[in-house]
Amino acid sequence: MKILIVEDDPDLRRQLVSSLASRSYTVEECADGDEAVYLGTEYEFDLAIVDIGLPGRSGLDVIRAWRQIQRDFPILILTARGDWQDKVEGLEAGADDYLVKPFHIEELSARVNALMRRAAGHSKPQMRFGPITLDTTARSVLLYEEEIKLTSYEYRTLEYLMLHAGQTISKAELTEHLYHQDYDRDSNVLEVFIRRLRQKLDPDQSLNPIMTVRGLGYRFALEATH
Amino acid sequence: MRWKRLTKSLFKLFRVPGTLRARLLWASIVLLPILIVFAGGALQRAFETSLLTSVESQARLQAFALLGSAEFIEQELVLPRTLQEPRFSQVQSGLSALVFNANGELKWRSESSALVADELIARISTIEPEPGSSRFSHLKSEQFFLYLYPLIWEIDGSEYRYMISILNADFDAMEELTTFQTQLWGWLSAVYLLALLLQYLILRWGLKPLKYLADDISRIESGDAIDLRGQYPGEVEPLTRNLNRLIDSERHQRERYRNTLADLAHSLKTPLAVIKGAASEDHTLESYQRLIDEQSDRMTQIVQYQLSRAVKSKERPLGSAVPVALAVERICGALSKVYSEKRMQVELVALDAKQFAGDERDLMELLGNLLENAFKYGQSQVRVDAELFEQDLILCISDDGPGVGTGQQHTILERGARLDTSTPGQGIGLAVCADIISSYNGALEVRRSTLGGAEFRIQLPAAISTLSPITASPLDE
Repeated sequence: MKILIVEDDPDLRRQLVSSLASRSYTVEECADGDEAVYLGTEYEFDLAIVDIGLPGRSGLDVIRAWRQIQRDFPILILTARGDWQDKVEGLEAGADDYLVKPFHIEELSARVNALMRRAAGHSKPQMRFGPITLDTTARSVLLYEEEIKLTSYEYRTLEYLMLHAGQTISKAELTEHLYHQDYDRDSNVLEVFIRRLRQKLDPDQSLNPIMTVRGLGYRFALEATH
Repeated sequence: MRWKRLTKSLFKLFRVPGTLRARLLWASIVLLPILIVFAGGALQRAFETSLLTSVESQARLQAFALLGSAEFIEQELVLPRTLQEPRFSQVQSGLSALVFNANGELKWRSESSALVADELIARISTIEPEPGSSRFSHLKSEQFFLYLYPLIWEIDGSEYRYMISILNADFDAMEELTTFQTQLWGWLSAVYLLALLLQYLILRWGLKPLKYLADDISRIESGDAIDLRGQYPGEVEPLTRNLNRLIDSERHQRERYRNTLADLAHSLKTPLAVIKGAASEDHTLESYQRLIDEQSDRMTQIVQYQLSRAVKSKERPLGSAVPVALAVERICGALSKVYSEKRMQVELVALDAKQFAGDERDLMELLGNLLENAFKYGQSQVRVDAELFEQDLILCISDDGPGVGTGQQHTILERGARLDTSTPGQGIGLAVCADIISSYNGALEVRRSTLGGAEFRIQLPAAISTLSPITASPLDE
């Protein structure tokens, strides 16, 4: 899952980037509004974290610009003032949630998780797909209630596919959402991840959770159980 | 170009000095002469007209007197040698009479006419006025008034035409006119100066309250007074009243800042002391981290609370009416987005046309904090209803959440409740609300809602602009 962080304070930005990256998110960062509008317009993101009080082009402006061209990824705004006028204006501009500075990274992480789930249409942090359970809070995957050991990239790949269960996801889209923009995109690496995931999730090849759609990409084939 | 330069120099000439008194005086200095010249001109004109009329009527009387003493003998007009009017006999009297016949021949002349130039006599003889209508004119170059009176004498069926002309030197009349003019303009100049002097005095007296006002203000500046005490005339009083109000609110503002700063400093001392003390205690890294975390949370809350106190306005802005429905709808719209998973049913009851008398920001803070609680703790329903009770606006915000414990269901509004005295872990939202409400002398109550959860009932001043006009409160209250 790819997150764009728009924050002008270098210290806070560094903190956000490192803590979200350590939680297996792919993170892009920028410090000013114009660049943010450019990045959000040109690249695919799964979520954006925007500081309202940006110098120059304001955070509200950035959000409006994105929403105007139908960019519908969830947006979390950060506000220092914390008065309601600010919050309401931000949400009216198109943001989905807000966080008042200063905040705990855990709080931010929880909000980010919730927003991503919401965008994928799930209301609980645990998603069940037959015997496979995805826990977005613990960032873990259970098979028959037993945790499977996954590398960070494996988890990201699986999470993306599961959050978009039933949809065919192209390799290009997966790469776009899993790696940094300057990452060397070698689709063989992706195939390796998929193969390893299949081995871990379906050792006896009875479930077949990840289907290959020839020429188009992959699809998470199990149905969500509530 | 020339016109431009002219207007420019005119502007420069009329560039008005800075003080009110100088402006008014300047206007009088420029405008009064125009008035006086008009008045003087009119007076002079009237005097001239009346002078000429009197000269003409004298000449007419003399012509008639001359006619009265005339006799008609042998088809000729005959006049006696000496006339009733002695001036006709004196050479230097300035008054002389000439009688011409129809052919313009001089038939008779008074003895006084000896000095009248022949040329003038010849010129007069050629003038032929209409029979029966006299003619009066001022021969300025010859310095004479000339009165011509044509007459027809009918005897035995024959007509004899004559013309009587009276010449009167204009010396006396002109002298009278000059004297009048000198006196007139002299007096008018005196009136001008007197008027300016009077106006100066009137202005000095009339603008005195402004000087007192300036003195009063400088007394405040120097710290000798705290408000404008003086008695001021009606026109200045609104100004001084508003100034007093401004000074007062500014003083309160300053006090508030001072208090906020003091509160902030004092309330930060405790967590700082805890952190400082922890250094000398035995702590594991983990417990030390937890302690730092707790105390920095506490400090964050304190800062946030004091910030939101600083944001909201303590003074009620005059006459501002904030529609409640708009603020509630905006906040509910925003919160529905944040809590979209809950799919809250929001019910707004009777909010239309309800207005809050106060600051919009305050209302937003108040409703934002209370509605956020409702969305956070409610299961599926939030209700906001409003009613007016006399001068008050009653807003009830209820939800179907777990509600507030019976022990806490009392009026939690405490004047100037400070965060560092409240229990830790409790959000600052309610403290901010209580603070805002107390600044409007309102009330906040918590009780069980009919929806099953908590109901926050707040009482605020209402703006009832549509029902009764806003009347100024009497000052002597």
